[in-house]
Formats: sequence, structure tokens, C-alpha cells
Amino acid sequence: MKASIIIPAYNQAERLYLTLVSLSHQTCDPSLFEVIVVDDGSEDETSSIVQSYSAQYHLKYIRQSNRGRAVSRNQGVREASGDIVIFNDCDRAVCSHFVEAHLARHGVLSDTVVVGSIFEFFFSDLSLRRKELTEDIEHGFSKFTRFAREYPYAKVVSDMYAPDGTTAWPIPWISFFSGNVSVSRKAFEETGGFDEAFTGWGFEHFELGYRLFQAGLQYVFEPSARNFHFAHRREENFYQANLRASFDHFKTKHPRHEVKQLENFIKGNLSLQEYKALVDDDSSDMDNQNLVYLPQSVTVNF
Amino acid sequence: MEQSFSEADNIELRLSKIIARASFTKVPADEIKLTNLLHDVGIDSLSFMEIVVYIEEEFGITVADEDLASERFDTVGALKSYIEEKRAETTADKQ
Repeated sequence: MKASIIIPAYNQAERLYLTLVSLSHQTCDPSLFEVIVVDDGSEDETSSIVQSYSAQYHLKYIRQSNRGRAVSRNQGVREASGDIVIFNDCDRAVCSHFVEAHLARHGVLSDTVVVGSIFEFFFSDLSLRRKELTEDIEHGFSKFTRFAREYPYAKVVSDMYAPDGTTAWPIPWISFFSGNVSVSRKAFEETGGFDEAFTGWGFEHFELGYRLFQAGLQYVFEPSARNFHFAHRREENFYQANLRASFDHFKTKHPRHEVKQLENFIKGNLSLQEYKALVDDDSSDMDNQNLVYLPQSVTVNF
Repeated sequence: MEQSFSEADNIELRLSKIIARASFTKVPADEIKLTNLLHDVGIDSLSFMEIVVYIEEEFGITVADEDLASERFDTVGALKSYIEEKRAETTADKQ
């Protein structure tokens, strides 16, 4: 079974470089995967960095005019030859077991969505740490990774999964992060891929996750498939305008209450357990429950 | 992380050194006062998370995601109090 790692890239040359290096140091044989970088019209050194990078694996570079992440990912899959597609964003270095861990959870049935675990690095000046980071990645990637923090949203939703990684929850798609998720290329294509009407930043990943769930795929959480996001100095307001339009598109396309309630969960007004109870239409379990809300550091108003 | 801090249990000094490392205005550690707003000593939201990670390692505490609401840690002094609180909890747990 072979994997194609799809990386949409836009103006993150430095972070993308570290991501590519991390993929050169995998426990898995490099002949078992290919990496496809889809450059969504970057204006920085992305093109020269990718084209001059000497990879251990087969590395394909495609460039398009700026059309957004959904289009980029779909284009990447069109160029893919692997049985499994792994979506990894351009600003996240992966642990050495990453590819192996994703591949291992896919059986022959092409019916699994594998969600990895997302951690974050906070470097106020990444270029100062680039050399040390590169060296660490080349030698087992264990020095810096001790200081990574689990992404709070991912941490909260991981409560949906049992210790063996399976889940019986009705809303596992709220853990579908296109920054670290894999699915069979067949299932992706049959479901229609990412909705390209999502042009801004927002919910395109949840919407695809929702469709895959509706199509009957099983969600599995594989914490050892870990990647590390290099956090950015972005303003919170940057997201809000995009989020509103994006969510409205999601809600209009799927006018179901489990979709509508996602807004309340993301705003921090609905706990994970209450969300489940609303969707199951069953509050009988609620009395002894510890209600977990998204922490303020990740909730957004939109 | 690779630098070694003083062994003395001087929270304010150790905290100032951590802030100085992450400060984007390169403010020297000995110029940092408890009354300073973090923003005024060159700490924005990204460098704030950077110092949270250093603080966890330096003082052996865990900063919960729930505690990270931005208004809580507006000054250096607020951070110092939090560290003292968490250290007392950790010590109490061990006894």
C-alpha cells in the first residue's frame, strides 16, 4: 500500500522546507510514499526551495494561480498515484513515524478516515531556530518535540475516541483536520473531494469530513501519527470574516442540526458532551458527565 | 532550553530571563519589572506561547489551556503569581 502526501503551499517557504526535511526522515521506506506540493501561487521562495530540495522520496511540484486550499488539495489528489492520500499542511513538520502510522491504520477495505494528532511549536523567531531544528529533525526529532503543546481543539475532540482509536460518536467529523488526516484515494474521489466553493479559510475540511462520515467511513484516531505546526503571528480577526461566509456555506449545503450546532461548539457555548446529546437526541447520560468546552484560547466569534 | 538558569529559587529573575529571550524588542532581563505589561516588554501572542513553554520546563509546572485566556496574564507580576500558585499545588500534590 502506497501513500501520497498532499501539501498545499502558499507563502510559507521556511516552514515548508522544514516539513520536507521531516519527510526525509521517516521510519517507513521512502519507496512507499510520494509527496506532492501544490503551490497555490506563492510569491515567496516556495518554488525555488521545493525545486532545489533533494528529497529521499519522490517529490512532485505543481504550481497554479492562487485559487485556495480546496482547489489545491483536489489538484494534488489528481496528481497522486498512492492508494492512500495523507493531507499535511505546508507549515507542519511530521514525526518520524508519521507515514508508517497513517498507513498502518488503513485496511484493505478503503473505508477508514485516520485522524492524526496535532501539536504546536511557538517560536517567535523561526529563522533563528531553523538550523537547530533542521539538525534535530535529521537526528530523530526528539529534542524540540518535548516542548510542543497539543493543539487545544484537537485535545478536546480526542475525547470522542476510545483508547484503541475507534469511536461510536455521531460527530467524529469535527476532528477532521486537513492538516493531518488520511483517507483512501478511492473514497476521496467517490465522495467528490473538497468543495471548491470554499475559497477563504474555514470549514472546508469539516464539510468533507462530514460527507465522508455520511458515506459510511469509519473514523479512527491515531495519536502516534503526530505533526508539529509552526505557529504564526496572525491576528485573530484575520479569521473571522472568512469563517462566517465559510460556515454559512457549510450550513446551507447541509441544513442539519448537527452542522448548525458546530457553530455553538466552536464559540465555546456548547460542551462536547452536550453537542453529542443534542445530536443523539439523548440526554440520559448527562448527569454524571464532566462537560468539556473548547478553551477560550481557541474559541472564535464569527 | 539549552541554556542553564541559576539554581537559586528566584522566580522573578528566572522569569525575567525567559521573557528577555523571547522579547521581540530585545529588552534586557534586568530592565523587566513586575509591573510591566507583557506587551510593553516585547511579548505578543506568539512569543507569549513561547514563554509558556519555557515556564513549564523551567518551573516544572503545567499551564492548562483553560488558563491561557489573554486578559489573565497582562503583567509580568501576574505571570509570577501564577507560577507561585502552580508550584505550591505541585508541591502539595507530592506530599
